[in-house]
Amino acid sequence: MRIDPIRPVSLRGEVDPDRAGLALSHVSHAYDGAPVVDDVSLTVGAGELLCLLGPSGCGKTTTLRIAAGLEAPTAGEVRVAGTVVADSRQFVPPERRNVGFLFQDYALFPHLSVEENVVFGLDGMPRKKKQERALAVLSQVGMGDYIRAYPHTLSGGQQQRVGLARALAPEPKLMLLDEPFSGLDRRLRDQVRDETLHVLKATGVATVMVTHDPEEAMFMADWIALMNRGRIVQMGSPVELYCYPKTAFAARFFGEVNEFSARVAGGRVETPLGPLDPHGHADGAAVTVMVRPEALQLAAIEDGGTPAVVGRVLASRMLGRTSLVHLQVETPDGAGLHLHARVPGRYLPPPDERLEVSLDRSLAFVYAANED
Amino acid sequence: MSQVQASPTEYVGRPEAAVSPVRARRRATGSRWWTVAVLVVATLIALPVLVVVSHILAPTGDVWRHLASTVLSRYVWNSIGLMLGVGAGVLLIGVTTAWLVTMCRFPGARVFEWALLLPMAVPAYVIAYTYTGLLDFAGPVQTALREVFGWTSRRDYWFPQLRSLEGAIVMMSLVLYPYVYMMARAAFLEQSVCALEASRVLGCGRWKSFFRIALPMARPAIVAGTALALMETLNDFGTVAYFAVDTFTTGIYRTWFGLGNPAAAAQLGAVLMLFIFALVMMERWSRGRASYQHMSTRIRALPRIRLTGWRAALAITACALPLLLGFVIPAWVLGQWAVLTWDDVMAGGRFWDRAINSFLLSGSAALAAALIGVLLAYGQRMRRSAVTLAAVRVASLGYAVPGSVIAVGVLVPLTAFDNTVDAWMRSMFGFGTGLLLTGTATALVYAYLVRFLAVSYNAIEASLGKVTRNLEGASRTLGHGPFSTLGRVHLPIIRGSILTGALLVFVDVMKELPATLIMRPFNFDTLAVRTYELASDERLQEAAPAALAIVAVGVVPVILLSLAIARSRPGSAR
Repeated sequence: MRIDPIRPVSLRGEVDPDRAGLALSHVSHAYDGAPVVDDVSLTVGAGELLCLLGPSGCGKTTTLRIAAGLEAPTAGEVRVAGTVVADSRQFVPPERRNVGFLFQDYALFPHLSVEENVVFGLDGMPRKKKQERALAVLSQVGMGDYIRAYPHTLSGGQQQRVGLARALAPEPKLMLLDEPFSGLDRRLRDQVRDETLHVLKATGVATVMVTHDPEEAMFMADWIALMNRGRIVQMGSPVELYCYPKTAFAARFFGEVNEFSARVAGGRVETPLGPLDPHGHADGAAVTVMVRPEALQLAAIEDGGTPAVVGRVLASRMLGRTSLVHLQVETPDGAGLHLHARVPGRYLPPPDERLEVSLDRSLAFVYAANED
Repeated sequence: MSQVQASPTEYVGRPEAAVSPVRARRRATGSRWWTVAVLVVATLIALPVLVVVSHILAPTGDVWRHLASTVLSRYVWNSIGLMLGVGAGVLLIGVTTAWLVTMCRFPGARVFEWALLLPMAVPAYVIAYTYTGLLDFAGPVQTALREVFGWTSRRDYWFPQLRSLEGAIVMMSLVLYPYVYMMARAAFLEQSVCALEASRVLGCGRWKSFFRIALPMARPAIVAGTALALMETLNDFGTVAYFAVDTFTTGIYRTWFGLGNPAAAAQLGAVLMLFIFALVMMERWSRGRASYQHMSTRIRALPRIRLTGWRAALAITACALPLLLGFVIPAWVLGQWAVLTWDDVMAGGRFWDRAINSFLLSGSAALAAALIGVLLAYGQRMRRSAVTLAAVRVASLGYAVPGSVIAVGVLVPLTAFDNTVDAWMRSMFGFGTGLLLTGTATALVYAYLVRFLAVSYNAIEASLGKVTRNLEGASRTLGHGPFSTLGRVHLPIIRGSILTGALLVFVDVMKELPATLIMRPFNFDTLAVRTYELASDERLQEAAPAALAIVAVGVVPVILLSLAIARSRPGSAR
């Protein structure tokens, strides 16, 4: 299949639930009657990494625990590696599901050494085999020299790696990661994230990872399922979610947006940045327009030029790889519109300079007003 | 396109929502047998207390009327007098010493900090026998006085009568004040220095700050400690029986054995339970208040007031007196007596038989308390529900109930059970079984469990909190079921606390007197029972080796306690 590198739409066909590492269909869960997970369906194929992304309390961790068997769904069906492990009639306990789980706090057994921790899941193997397997997975995560150490003597990053090795040791058919990097400081996090991704891809295990950080999700995921209030709001590739958010919530969650209201008239949305396609909203409808900061392109006004949209610079800040420009764009009512523009590299126009503003319409979104 | 199965607009009601969430959770968290096991065990443990409480309403006829018209008011007034006196005594000693060792610096303060706990190792009846032997007419003190002043008879001088309500109050205060000391000390240490400093800045002097800030802030802890000390006061049998101060515990004993009326004894126990209930409420209430006493999270070691000269001497005296009177002198006197009577007591090997009896009883009770404590705590964790929680709460009420009451509460249903079985066997097979359980060591261990299970359960339950849900989940996802997880994750991690809990039960059973006295098998002596019997026969010196053994065992938990206190000292560990 030929892939357009700039705008790949979905590359993914249906995953056959009989062959998927994990298949949830219409799964719900409630604590004391309050729904936490609400009719969630998703599939993860072998070798794929799916991120459950969402704000705290959106039900993503509960979904993960349902997949592991640490919680039981109140409705729906769960399949791991093609086998039904939970539906309305049966429930396979976690110890018989053959899944690996990496906990947010790693949950290493404090009374066992690194090696004993890894061997913990290898019951029924000859002693020698166990030790070989433990050494192999520990070496894979770069912890081969620490087999005699106890968890409390390890740093956070090292504990994370032991936790990963322990979960991978029994060769699970499905790996579940619950915010596995949130306990690490930023610098270490990037490194561990990278290593974890490579280890998971090397084993080829189907993986579901929970995170609240969209950037992390985009870094790790083949597929992202965005959740809010117990439901999957949108599922697709990182590009889809970032470039084609289906709801205002998705657009806001995935990155900074310039947000203002407008109205549909004559088949177009009139905005201070020019007309936009109404995306199916009828004439007269109130809409919310969202524009990503990098969709605003700035250029100096040539002498005598009269560009369609002009912005006045309020302030400019260098933020490392990009620069942020605060702009004031004129509006018909004279109130002005404050916009943020993100420009690659160093670009620091002085305050009060007037710039030509043009819009990349593929990164401007239109939603019904008051939509969530 | 990718699949989006659940967009908000497409969402409609789900018929599956009818599936009960309770059933689902049950499947996830474990079998219902956990609930059944917890409920059965908790009910068995709670049964004796419930039996006694139910007697509040049961009519017992003439005996009760007789009791009410003759001795009941004496029991009530003596018990109240004892509680007021001991309450005042433990407050005075406990708060003063706690304040001195936490807020002041003077020579020996560090040693007093843990040494002041030592009197806890001495059961009240042991200190009562010791001082009686020391201070009565024939004892060394009065003899010496007579020799020095040339007195010849009782009429020549006045000497305080130890065998009285006042004497009992002093004896009990001397060994029970550590409860208040311990709680008050912890409360003073936890107090944020900010509040005290703010008070100083606002113009209050040191002493005024103590009375207006530190003491009110520590009040809930002090009240809780006093409530514990008073529960022990009501539980005491050996001291009041020996001093002939009639209280509920002696009354229950006498009604049971003298009048042979279990129902009336249980009814006395029920009245006593009202006192206990008030104390439990007091303790719970103040603990609840203590939890939100600390506004500031900044905990810093309090700057201590340095005492010198006569102030230091006064402080040393104030701390040394309770320690000397409550532990050093009794232990020293017992040691002397034990040396004196050693050969006589050891002759015939009966002493070692009793020691072995004591150890076997304490050991089996400790083992059973550990096992059942683990079952209740883990079962409760596997299947948390309001019903099991309530059952466990009721089961752990026994810690507040006096041993004599528990003995009655155990014997009433056991006797009924034995008689039923006996009658049934007679009618079915033509021969009786007699008393199957009543008067056996098994029944006695059961009574100990009812009284002391809370000690081990609380230790195990608190420690089980260290095993996080995620550790459990990690073990489960790594292929280990609930039992394997218990054995390979929980038990190794909480091993220390199980041992501590079992040890505390062991020591408590060693010291226990009233329930043992009422329920022990025929001709079955323990060290505590022997101490009581010898003391009742006025053979105080011969009682010393047994009493000393009890004190020695009692020192072990005090050491554990002081180590725990040293480790948990805020500020120093961080």
